Amino acid sequence: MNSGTLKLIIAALLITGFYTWFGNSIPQTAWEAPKKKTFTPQMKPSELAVEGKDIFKSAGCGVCHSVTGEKLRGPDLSQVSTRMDSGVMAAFLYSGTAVMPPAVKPPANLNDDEVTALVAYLQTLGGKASVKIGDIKPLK
Amino acid sequence: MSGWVKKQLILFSCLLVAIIGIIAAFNLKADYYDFPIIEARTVVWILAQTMLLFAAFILAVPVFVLIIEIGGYLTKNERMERLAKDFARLLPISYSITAILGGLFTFASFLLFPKYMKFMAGPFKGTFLLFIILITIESTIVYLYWTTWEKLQGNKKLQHIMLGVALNVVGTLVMMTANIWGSFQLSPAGISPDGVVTSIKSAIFNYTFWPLNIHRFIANISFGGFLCAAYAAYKFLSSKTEEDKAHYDWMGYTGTFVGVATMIFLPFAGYYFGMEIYSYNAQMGITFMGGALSKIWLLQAIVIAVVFIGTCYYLWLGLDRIPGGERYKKYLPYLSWGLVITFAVWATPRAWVASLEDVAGGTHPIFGTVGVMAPKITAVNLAILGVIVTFLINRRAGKYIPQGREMFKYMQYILIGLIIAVNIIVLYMSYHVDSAVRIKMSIYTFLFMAVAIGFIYFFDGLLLKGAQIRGQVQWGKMAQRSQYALIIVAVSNIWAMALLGYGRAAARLNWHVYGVLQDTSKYAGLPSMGRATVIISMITLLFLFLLGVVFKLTATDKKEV
Repeated sequence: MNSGTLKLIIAALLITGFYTWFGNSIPQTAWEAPKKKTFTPQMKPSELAVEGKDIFKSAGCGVCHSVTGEKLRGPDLSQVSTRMDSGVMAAFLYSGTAVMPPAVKPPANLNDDEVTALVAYLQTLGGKASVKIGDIKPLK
Repeated sequence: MSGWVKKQLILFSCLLVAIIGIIAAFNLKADYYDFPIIEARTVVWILAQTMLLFAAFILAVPVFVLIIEIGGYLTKNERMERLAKDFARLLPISYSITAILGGLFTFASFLLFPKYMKFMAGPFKGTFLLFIILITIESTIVYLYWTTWEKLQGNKKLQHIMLGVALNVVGTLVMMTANIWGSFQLSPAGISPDGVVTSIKSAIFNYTFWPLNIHRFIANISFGGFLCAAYAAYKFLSSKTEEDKAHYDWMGYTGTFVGVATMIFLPFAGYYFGMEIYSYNAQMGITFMGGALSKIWLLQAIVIAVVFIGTCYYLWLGLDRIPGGERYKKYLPYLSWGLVITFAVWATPRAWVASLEDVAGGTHPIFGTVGVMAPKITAVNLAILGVIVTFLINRRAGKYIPQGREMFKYMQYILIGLIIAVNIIVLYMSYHVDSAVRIKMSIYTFLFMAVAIGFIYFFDGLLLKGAQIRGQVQWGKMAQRSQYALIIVAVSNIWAMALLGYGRAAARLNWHVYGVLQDTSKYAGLPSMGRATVIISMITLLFLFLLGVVFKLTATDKKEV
């Protein structure tokens, strides 16, 4: 092995080593694909809301919507239940807006029960959960 | 003829391996299969990305060789002819390695991810066949291009150049065919609600098809230039004679020039790509730029900073071999600080979360809105301007500006001032519009910058036309550390390509085909950034090793044909 080759190898190892070190030194955020939850008609609205809170996080709603009053890209949802009822919430989730994709399409890709759970959680923001499985009718 | 048959045999052997994989996959019952120890996803990831890097290389080299060959033909420069031939020599073996990697990748993908590959093989069967036909034609032209190099000289040189043009046209078609599949995965179109491809035309010309073509084409040329420069640096460091050092120094400069001249257009191709992603699905854009994948951009900023600053550092050191270059050294600290600050802005993350469960999508707790996209676009535009100024200094360093030409210099100053002013105004406006509008504004800013940079060089041509030379450039009189900068820039380029390859795939999250075919394997999630960087580094080193094999085999091959 000549000296040029050796210098090349050392330079390549040092620079890739630096990037690898840097990549490992920042906070690590592995992403798990959301697992489908099981819902039953017997579940109480408060139980649904707990599941809905998880969905809110895993479906990426928090990327645009705050629930603490902070100003993000989308509207703040900290008191959302004082502004809209469950039907309007569901309409937004099923239809989306010009800038918000419908929650029933990728990447969130929620099913009807998950939408209901999410509505239950949103109801707790400024109010109390009241919807149950079957209460929210899918919009086509 | 026997050489051609031998090359085609390698290609057809690889196709055979791929076909065996395809047939076997259609007889498999399960959706997914695992691979012992290193996992199925990692196997396919490494094979796919290494193959893509080689594919980029075999697309980049013909473009690079053709540019140099035409330059040599027009200027009657023997040195350029030698450089072009030196690189064309790499093509036949590189094609064989790419074919082997392609065959293995197809084989592994069909056997480990049959659900996905069977889905793609349905509507895209025609494009698979087209791909096979095109690579057969391409490898034949490569063989002809290389074997006729000596025969088609003198008044037949134009025929050889036309062969190079044909090679590049077919090579670009091969790339575009492969991009059909990659772009369709990211932004599928022509799909019925139940996930069946109903319009193959719409599926092909989906949202990200053209942006991906443009981005890859520009990146490949840049890639070729930087790899040429790194090879020259390696040879420079190994050279024993002044003559060799002079040749490889010149080669390194030429490669760097081609690499940088094309690289400055890459961010804009990236904005176009980003704009189409946002148009297709705003949430995918947000996930990509500011959500689960935002740390990719932090790493990319660091890597591109190394590429930009490393290139400028090399060019600044190059002033030492240009008589009169020392006049400009007093400006270099300002340029270097300017570049460092612009990349510090680019590297500022939008948000800083310890866990995606906690993601709130807000801004950075310390740097606030410095981390959003708007200042990053301004920063990278100003960094590009820094590189342009560095090249202007290099062009001007060894020359006396003729009397009465000051006007052109002032025109350049006005244009540079305008670029800075426009970028600051756009930055201010960007804080008041949404992402889609902001990305569109970045395209218009690019168009303005491209025109302004064109005029800067136009005025530079007028300024230096017939200028008296202070002294010949002393090729070879270059500090050794400058050559390490070239090697680091090339390795960083490879690393950046592998990183963004991962980014494009990761943007689909847990979907093989976004919104159409869900990934239900145990590898449906995304690895941590740390684990991803380990694999990206492994891919980079594997590619460098294989490239070393190519260089070694061609260097020891005494039979030129």
